[in-house]
Amino acid sequence: MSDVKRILVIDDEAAIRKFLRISLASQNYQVIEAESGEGGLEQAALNGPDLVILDIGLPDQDGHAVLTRLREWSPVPVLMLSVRAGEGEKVRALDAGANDYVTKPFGVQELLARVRALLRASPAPNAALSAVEVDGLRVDLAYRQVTLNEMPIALTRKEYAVLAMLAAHAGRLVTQQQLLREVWGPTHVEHTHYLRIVVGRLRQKLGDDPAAPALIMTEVGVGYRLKAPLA
Amino acid sequence: MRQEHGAERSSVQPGDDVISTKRNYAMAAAAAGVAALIALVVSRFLDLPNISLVFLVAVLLVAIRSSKGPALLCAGLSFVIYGFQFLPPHGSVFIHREQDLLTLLFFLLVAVLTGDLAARHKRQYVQLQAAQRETQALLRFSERLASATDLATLLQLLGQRLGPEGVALRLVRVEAGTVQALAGNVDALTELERITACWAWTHGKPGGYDSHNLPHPHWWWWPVSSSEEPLALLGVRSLSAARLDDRLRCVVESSLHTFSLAVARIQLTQALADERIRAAAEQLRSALLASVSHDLRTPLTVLRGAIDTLALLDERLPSSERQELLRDTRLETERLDRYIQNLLDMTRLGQGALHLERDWVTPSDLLAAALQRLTPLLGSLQLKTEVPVALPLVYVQAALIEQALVNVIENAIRFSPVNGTIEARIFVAEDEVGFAICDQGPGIPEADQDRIFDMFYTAARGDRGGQGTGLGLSICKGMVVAHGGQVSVMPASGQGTCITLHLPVDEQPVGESEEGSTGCE
Repeated sequence: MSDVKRILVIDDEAAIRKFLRISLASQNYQVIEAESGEGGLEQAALNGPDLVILDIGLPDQDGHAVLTRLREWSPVPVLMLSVRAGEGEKVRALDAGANDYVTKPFGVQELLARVRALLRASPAPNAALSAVEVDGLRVDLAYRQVTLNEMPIALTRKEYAVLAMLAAHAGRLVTQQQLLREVWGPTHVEHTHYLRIVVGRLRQKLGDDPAAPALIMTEVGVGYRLKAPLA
Repeated sequence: MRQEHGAERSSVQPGDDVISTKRNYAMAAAAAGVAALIALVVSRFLDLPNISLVFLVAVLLVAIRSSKGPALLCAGLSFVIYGFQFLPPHGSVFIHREQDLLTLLFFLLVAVLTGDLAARHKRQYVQLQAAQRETQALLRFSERLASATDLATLLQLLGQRLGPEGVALRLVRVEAGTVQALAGNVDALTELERITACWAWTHGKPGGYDSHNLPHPHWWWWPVSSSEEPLALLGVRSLSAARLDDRLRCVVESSLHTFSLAVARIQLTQALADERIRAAAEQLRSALLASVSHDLRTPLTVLRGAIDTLALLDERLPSSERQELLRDTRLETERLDRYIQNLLDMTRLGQGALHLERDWVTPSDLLAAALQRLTPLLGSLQLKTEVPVALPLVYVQAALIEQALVNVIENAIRFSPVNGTIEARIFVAEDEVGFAICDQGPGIPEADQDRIFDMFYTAARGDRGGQGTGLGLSICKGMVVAHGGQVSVMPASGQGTCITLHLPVDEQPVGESEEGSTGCE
């Protein structure tokens, strides 16, 4: 196979598919289109895309159902297109295996950034990453060391665990449930305030402005995202 | 029937009754004695027949003062004394002459007739008194009812009137076989109680089922109606006895008319108020529709114009102008998006109780998210943020407060002068977290400060970034108030306006103690 990444777009709006096709093609991605959930699943099975962009509101069956069926056999990264209506829906999709989302109406730059982040990380297992560098921040996952502008930063166990998980998925959304489950354990998934406090302290130690964070971005009500490292 | 019960109610206690009867009999005996003494004196001067008159007077007096029984006793005693002392042969009660027998009969007749008459008269008097008391009580009751403004108060007043025995009261309506509570007691009804309520409702007659065999007292229903149509059913249930006693029933029935009038009045008032609210809602809806068509079309017009210009003049436009037109289209779409979000939020708020999906949120995250959404709108404006290092968490639905902040900041942007500065500050007060957004705009006249959160209020001059919809701030207030917070407006130091969202700080969740843990080096 060539190096060209294939992206499957499942959306019933022709106009949305069109501008996605144009903008994605401009980045040298190969675009496959489907206008229904059923057709999308078929295309996914036939073409084995590297990424699926899936609209949550599809006419024949909703995006959640498509996602669930897709996840039965494929680990392909899925980027959801959702409306702002509720975090509830986004969280549901992310829990069901979606990897990230953009909120309609979204900017193309934002979309392309998400696509890049998702494609970069897949399918390499996270363990393969030894260190992540974002701006002045360097998270050495192998040696469990964090430096900011080459100055070592002392972090507590939990702070490090949260930062390491964000770093391993740099540029991609990590839901608060994932973080809580991974760092605190499955019984603490509801204890979002643990996470809020730890992220607050992390930002403080990393000198991130809480009113305009540049390193650890909050997706309010959904999760966190570490700034994508330069490609 | 009613009066009889009134009489019963107002008569003295049974114990007192016995005493007064005894006293009456004693009085009868004493009267006979006194009559004998007088007769003895009189007998010195007058003939025998006159003496009997003395006794007759005694019997008459006793009969008037008391009742038949004592009068008969007095008559008997009088006759015995009369016969013993005055009739020949003296010293014996035996009667020898027919005319003396007649005297005895006469005594008895007078005693019975007068006693009866007197008793009836007295009963009537007592009844009259009771009826007057009852009328006065009813009058007081209706006066109190007249000042009541809701059904619950009416029931309370009726409860007071029914006395201290303790009854449960409720007002219900029956619709399609189901009983709907209006006021008062809300205990679940048994099937039998439901059926009797339906019966009373459809027949317009009091009804219920009670019997001493019931495990607990049942509701008894009285239709409350001002004309034919029943307005409600009044349910009365005794709290102590198994069934309502007759006295209570009578009081309920005597109060029912006044009570019905009061219920009718209150229901009418409520209907009028509902009508007013409906009218206001209708007005709001049409204002909203007008606003929607205006506010949706403005950005669409800009979009259409910019796109057409680009399509038509593409090559002939200098690149800077092309970029500017493109930038405008983007800003307009974002404006449309915000506007649609506001409309959605408004319907959410309009549906009454907003269901909040709360979670612990860092206040600065909310500000950051709102600012990020508005960055393209800032243009030449400076943004100054101030966030304290230590912030408590707030327990809110993040998206709603974020939207409230977006609306306030957008408002500030709209009223800011070119190159102005917008200040976004988070502060922590005693039991609240505040978000203060200050602009350097023209400020808000003091008279209007209360009105800026009203729906469709837009300040006269707000030319930067287009006219406002007049929805943003009222939605903002709705969101914040739904979280138990409030919004306030103050003139900024120097020039401009500060709008502050105050969110209550709930008791902080118990954090985990990680202080002692080692670093990860």
